[in-house]
Amino acid sequence: MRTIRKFEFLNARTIDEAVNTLAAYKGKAWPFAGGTDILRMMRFQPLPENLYPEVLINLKTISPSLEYIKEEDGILSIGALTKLVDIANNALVGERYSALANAANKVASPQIRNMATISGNICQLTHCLYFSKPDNRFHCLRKGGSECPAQLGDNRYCSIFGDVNGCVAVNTSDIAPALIALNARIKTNKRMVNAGEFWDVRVPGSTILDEDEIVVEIQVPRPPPDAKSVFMKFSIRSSIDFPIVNGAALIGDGVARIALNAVAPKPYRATKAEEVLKGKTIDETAAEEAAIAAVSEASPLSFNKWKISVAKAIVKRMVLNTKSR
Amino acid sequence: MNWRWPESTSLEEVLKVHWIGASIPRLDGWPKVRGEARYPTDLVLEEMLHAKTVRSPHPHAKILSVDTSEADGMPGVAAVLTASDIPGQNRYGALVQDAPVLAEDVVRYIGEPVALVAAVCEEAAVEAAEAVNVEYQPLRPVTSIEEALSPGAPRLHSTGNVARHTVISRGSPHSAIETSDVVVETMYRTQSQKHMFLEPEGGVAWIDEDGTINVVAGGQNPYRDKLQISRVLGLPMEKIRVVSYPAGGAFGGKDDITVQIHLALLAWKTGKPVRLVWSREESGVVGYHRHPYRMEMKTGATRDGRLTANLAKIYSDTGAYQSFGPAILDVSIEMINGPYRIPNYEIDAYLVYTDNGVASAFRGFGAPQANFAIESQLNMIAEKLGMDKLEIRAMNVLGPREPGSFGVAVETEPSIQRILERARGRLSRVGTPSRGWSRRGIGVALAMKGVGFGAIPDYPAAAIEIDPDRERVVAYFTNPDYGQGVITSCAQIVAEALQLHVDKVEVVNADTALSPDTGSSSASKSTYAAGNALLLAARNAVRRLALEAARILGVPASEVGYDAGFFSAPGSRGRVSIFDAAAEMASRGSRPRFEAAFEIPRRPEPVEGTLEVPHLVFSHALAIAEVDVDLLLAKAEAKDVHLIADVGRLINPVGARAQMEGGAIQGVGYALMEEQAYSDARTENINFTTYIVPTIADVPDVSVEFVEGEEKTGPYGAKGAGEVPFVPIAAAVADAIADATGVRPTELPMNGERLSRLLASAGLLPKRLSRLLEGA
Repeated sequence: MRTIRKFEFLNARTIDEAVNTLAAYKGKAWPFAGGTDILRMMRFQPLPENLYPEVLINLKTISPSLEYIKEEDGILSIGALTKLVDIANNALVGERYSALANAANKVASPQIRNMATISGNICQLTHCLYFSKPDNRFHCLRKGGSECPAQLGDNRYCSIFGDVNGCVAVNTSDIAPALIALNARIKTNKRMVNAGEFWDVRVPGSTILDEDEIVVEIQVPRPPPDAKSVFMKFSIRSSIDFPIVNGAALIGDGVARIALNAVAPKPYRATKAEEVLKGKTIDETAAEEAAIAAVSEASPLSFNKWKISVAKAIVKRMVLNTKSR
Repeated sequence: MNWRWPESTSLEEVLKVHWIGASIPRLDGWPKVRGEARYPTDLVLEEMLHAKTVRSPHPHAKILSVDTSEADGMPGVAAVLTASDIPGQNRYGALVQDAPVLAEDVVRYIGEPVALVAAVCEEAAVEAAEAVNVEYQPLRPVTSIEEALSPGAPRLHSTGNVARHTVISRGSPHSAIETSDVVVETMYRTQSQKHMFLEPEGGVAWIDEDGTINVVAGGQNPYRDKLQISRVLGLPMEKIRVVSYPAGGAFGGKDDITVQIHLALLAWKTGKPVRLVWSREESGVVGYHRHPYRMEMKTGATRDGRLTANLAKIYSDTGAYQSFGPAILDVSIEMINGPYRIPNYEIDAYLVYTDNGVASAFRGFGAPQANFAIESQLNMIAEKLGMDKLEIRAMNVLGPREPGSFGVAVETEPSIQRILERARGRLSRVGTPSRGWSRRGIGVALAMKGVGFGAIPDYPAAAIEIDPDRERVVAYFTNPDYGQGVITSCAQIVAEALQLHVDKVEVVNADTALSPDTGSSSASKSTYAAGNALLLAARNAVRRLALEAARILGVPASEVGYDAGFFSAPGSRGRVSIFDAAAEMASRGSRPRFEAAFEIPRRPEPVEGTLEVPHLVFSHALAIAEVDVDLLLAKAEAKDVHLIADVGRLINPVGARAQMEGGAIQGVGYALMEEQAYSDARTENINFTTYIVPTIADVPDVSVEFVEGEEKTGPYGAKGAGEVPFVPIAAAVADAIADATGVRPTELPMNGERLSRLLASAGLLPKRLSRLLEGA
């Protein structure tokens, strides 16, 4: 019983034009990259009326193009509009930044990866079952409401690391944990931030981006030669599914960085686990200890204890997988 | 493609090829895979209106008023229909007409249609639908079987919340249970499963110059749809034509009425072509689904493994209306004792109304639920007795021609023992725990599925036309090919019967204007029913055209024989092709078209309290499933499914194999992940994003072997392959999980949440986890 919302569609020619237009519309314009997430929102309309954009600003028409992958001086630079399929299939990324290539390859389905971009993936809205219900059935905290329906309701897939301002929805980006583990930086038209800080915001935000700010580039430093990066995703279905828990790790050569996602309102850096691994040889025991440490601060909701054991298992396996090379 | 058409063109040489058992490609395959086939929802007609359905937002409510005045006056709106606009009877339903076409005073599920809108474009139709003002007084909904049966529950129908209650018993089941050496008592729950066909419910309708209403929509029984339309519109049958080919999947979910009556009403009211297609989300909310069951089982056996008694309580949630509910309950009743010799039993079966949408037919039709229960019971008895799981089946299985629970044999030709024999040795491949946290288990289940409607009368009719001008044979039948391949198998049957190249055979499928009534594509009977009718029609054609040939040859008809497309007679020179004989017939103004009806064999009376018990013809399948259970993730993954099946003689082996594979994969989805999630009678997962069906990445290796028996009543020995591969999968997967973990799932689907609860309740998680891993 539903057709897609009406909106204006503007083609931006430059980054400046895009951000100036965003500024002019004061929140009533959204940047538009691959569109796979936005068009779904415009069709199913989970938001209250006041939160929809009037205008979508197409970034794909920006010149010079923001679609590129290059490595210079030990830094991998990925344009914000690079499609996930191209990251997944890039030989260089696959070889030296394998957690990122694997993460890109596990997002949704081939059709979506053909359209979706890396910046769109990391800027996706933090959401839960209730937030995403069509027609704004649940006017939750993230939409300006006063209650979190998931706290007392179906929170099977929600946070196991507490809430942010009462919200227990999770960030489901597959790319995010890979960027954090690989110690990436995110460049916007205004600033450069470490990946670990990009999602560090209060509800209702999902990222730190201002209304007139867009991601222009992702920069990933080349990992030390003896370090290995891995990505793992646990979902109900093996393809076309959001993660229940996903994670990425970069381990070796004095480095240990572990990030989980879909376990909290923002990506979760497992610093306790990283500390456990410092100076240790990776073996079954070390991996188990790291896994226990990774979930040591977990506090499950009524229906998601199971996610803790999943997160633990993911950390352990990631750590062990960085050993085999 | 490896397969090639025979290169010879002369009929004699072609006849060296037999079409039965030939794995020829689908006759309608190429246009479908090329995207050229036009499905009902693809059709665009000139000046076509677009329709939308106004639906109830409440699971249970009184309708106080329906005001269409605002919608009526909106620009582009051609019609707004409510219950009061229906000229005939405002009820439909495949078995009992109990569901309102448009609700009058009460709505009983979320999405129940209340009004229809047609407008010049889809946007205008949506806006008009939203402008129809319906005032409801919400009533307390009934959201589960338990709630429906509890005292003080709201009554959903004037007869109460029990649509049917049937008790069937034999012997002295209760005392036999008491004296049994072992008794296994278990409650099973199975979920609501959605069909999730790629083409949602939808189609188009228009009115001809002569006033005939044409409805083209994906369906499974065009003649029954036509009958239901005629009742609602109050029009004679000859004023209605239904076409149900092609359809983008059905699986039972298009067996009862979906859009057909609404389309016909709007075309009739507006006089214009109309398109009505449910969105994926609409299909997710109001499309049919498989009945959720609760089954309480108590099964006894002697120390040496002989079954003594079975006590079964079956509760089926039919939702707001009956649809096929009573017949589906019948199949469950018939399957709850399995193909086993059980001298004492009591089956206490309830069909219960709730506000959970409308349940209807779905591949297996009540057999999968019952199979999950009885096969799990049998596996548990075997475990208790330390018996081999194949051995206990072999010991208890009924022999050929041995009367079963309902007085008839479950096999017309010996097949179950042969299937069990083939399975021997395959269950010992168990025990390869690859890693500490991953346990491999192997499980088994045996299934049967009746072919056809059992005791319900069924007379499929079909026609064959010999076209002399184009030298083609046209086969007409109406049970739709929605992907299962009945067009191809029937063309092969006709080619074999007339000893012609299958290239010479064309099929006209599922059009009530062109073909006699062949009945439904359901109950694993499409090839059996249409094939038998076409065989009789082909025989009529040869017999009748022999008279023409005799005239041409100048011999008495009794001397004329038919071979490889030609009539000839001993002692007469020359021969007459079947097409020349048809031309001779046509030259005198007589159409060379031959009809025949087949009577599907049945018992004259059903078992008391049922509609269709017993069946006389069954297909059989045994499934062996290998499953990996990840103890840490509480995730079960089916790695390998092996099916050993008897579906009668294979008309098209590749097609039969595809049915087996498809059934196994859909069965794995049913076993491990698919579940329509309700909260307060509202479906929460309404599209492919949230209703999780297996993708190719979740599919196990499926291997198939056939025990090819010849069914004497079947066309060239065929039975039916559509449903039986689905039936044993859930029980086999559950058995594999039990084998891997030592605890047995009794609820479907066996997803992470249920498995983690099960493993935890068994003390396997999390405390003993590490000890368990050490032991592995």
